[in-house]
Amino acid sequence: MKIRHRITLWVSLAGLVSSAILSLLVFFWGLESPYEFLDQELEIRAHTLADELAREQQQGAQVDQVAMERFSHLYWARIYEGGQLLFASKMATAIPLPMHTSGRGYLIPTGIPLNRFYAEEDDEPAAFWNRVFTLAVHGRTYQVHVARPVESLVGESIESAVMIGSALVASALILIAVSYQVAGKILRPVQEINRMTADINAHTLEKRIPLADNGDEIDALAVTLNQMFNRLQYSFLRQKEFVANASHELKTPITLLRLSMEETLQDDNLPAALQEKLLAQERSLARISQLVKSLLDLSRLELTEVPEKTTFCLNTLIVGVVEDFQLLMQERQLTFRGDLQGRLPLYADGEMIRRMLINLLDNAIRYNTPGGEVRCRTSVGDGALTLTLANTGPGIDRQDQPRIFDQFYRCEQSRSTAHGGSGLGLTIVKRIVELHGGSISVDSSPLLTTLVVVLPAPGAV
Amino acid sequence: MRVLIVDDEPELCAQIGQTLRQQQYTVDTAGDGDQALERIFSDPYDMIVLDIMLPGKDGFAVLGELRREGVATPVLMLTAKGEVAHRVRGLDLGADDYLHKPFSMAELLARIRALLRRSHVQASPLLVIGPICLDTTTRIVTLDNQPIALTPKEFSLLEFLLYNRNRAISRFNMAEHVWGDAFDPFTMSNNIDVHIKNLRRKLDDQAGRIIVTVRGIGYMAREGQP
Repeated sequence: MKIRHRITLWVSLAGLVSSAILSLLVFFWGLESPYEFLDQELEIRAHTLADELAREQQQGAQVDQVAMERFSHLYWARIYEGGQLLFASKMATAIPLPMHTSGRGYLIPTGIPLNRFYAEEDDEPAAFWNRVFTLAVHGRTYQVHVARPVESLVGESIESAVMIGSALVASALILIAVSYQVAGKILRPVQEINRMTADINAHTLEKRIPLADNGDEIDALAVTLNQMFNRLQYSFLRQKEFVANASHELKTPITLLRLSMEETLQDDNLPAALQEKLLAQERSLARISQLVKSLLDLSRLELTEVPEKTTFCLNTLIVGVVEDFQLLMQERQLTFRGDLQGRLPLYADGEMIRRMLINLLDNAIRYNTPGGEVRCRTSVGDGALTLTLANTGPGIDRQDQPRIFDQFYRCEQSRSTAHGGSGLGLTIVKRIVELHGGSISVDSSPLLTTLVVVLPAPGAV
Repeated sequence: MRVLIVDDEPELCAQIGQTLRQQQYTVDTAGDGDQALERIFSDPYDMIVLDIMLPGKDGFAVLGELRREGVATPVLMLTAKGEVAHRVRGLDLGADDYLHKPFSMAELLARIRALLRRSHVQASPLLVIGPICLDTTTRIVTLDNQPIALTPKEFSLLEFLLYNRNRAISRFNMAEHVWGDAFDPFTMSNNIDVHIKNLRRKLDDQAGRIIVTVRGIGYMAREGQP
């Protein structure tokens, strides 16, 4: 699940739970509080009635129904003394209500419309809120049962429950919307960092994530990432320099060995067996020497960032390079088929492109079969120059194809040193193409291997 | 012909020195910049082979100093760093040629001869062997005074063999010299036999009396064959 969705979910859930708890509290308080007032009211009424009754009884008079009725107007009231009913209000004579002696208030719903008691109310069925008190007044003990018609709070509470519920739904929707927005806003710099980091690769290590300088956690993350890139860039550079320095250091001892071997071989009196061994050694040494040169060339290319560009005709350059390979191709019975039409201006580093062509042709000849062909075609279109070089030959397995540009990678069938080569030729080619902002791809079938180089055409930058 | 070799690697100095002495050069060696300058200012040399990486004063400093003092002796710089910037700097300071390590002795001898000839120490630009004469300035080759047409590669190959006369040169060395750094000499050395064959045909030397095949190694331009 995306962090944005998770934040939204958690924030909304937390908000929803807390507001639900709050509304439940309010709901139940709203349910209870009217009865608390009623309880107090009924208690006062009961005391008033009991006091009045006691006063009247003290005077020895009969219970004055009219006077008592005044005190119990709009109340349901019955007063007992020792189980004998002393007084019943008008309402109490008309409506029977059971007596609970638990001491707490209780509600008895009736079917009588409320507007029979209160003119201004509507005709919803009334309920009675009852209380029963045992009161001792002036030595007498009364049991006072008072009640009051109230509107039925059930409908009311359903109504408020529905209201609270819909408020909850509304607040949940708002919470989801707001937290989704806020999460997006918080995560936007993270996305930015992600995009920038994805952009940084081995060849663009000098790029850095722009900082907001507001000191928040995401900015701190960007700072840390940038520091990591600094270290990476440093060690990449060190590694490249190491290759350059190592191959450079190897040059003097290799020169020494070469010179001394050459000199030894000049000796006419050398026994044939020794000469043969020395020649084999010299060949190995020459191979080392080539390898070191290629390594140095490659590391120099790796350390180069901007090629020195001039404008020249690619076709002319190709013809020149092919000319150098002409005799070699003749000897291998290879036919060169060129489709190099007209002037094809290219804005690039001429030396590098020459090196690229030499390596490509070297490969096309090396891995060819006698009597085969080397085909070369150039074209221009869509702001790009395309160079296609194909050679007949055993081809490259599909799984090997993407790896042929890797350093020292050789396909199984070409692994034997009979083919020669440093294993760096195509790596050098790829680096040169990359330095020029181009691309190279390979396509190989068992009979034909095709390499396609695409370079930006001049003026199409 | 007196040559000074300046390199901090004594073995390299000794190796080059030995070969040059065999080729009738007089050779001195110096291991660092100060020693080199001391020798240059005390003895007249015809040629200086100067390494760039030296302890103390480096090759550039030595070159700069001796050119400031008006010493015009040709200087061949040896470098392990083939950087274009290095080359340009050296040439600006007055170096006459450049050779990157690892190089072959044949290449070094060819460069030294070419430099000596250019600096008029060895006045003749002509390399003569038997009936063949190669003019290094006009790049014309004659056989019994009749000009013959050679391709640039054949010319370069013949010139290289003549600079190294009486030395057996491997196909690999020839390929390195003729095609330069960008080409793989292993690939190109397959080509040498064809070029030699063509060259012998044009020089009317099918029997290989002038350009001699040295079994196992390669070829040699031999003087004084019947």
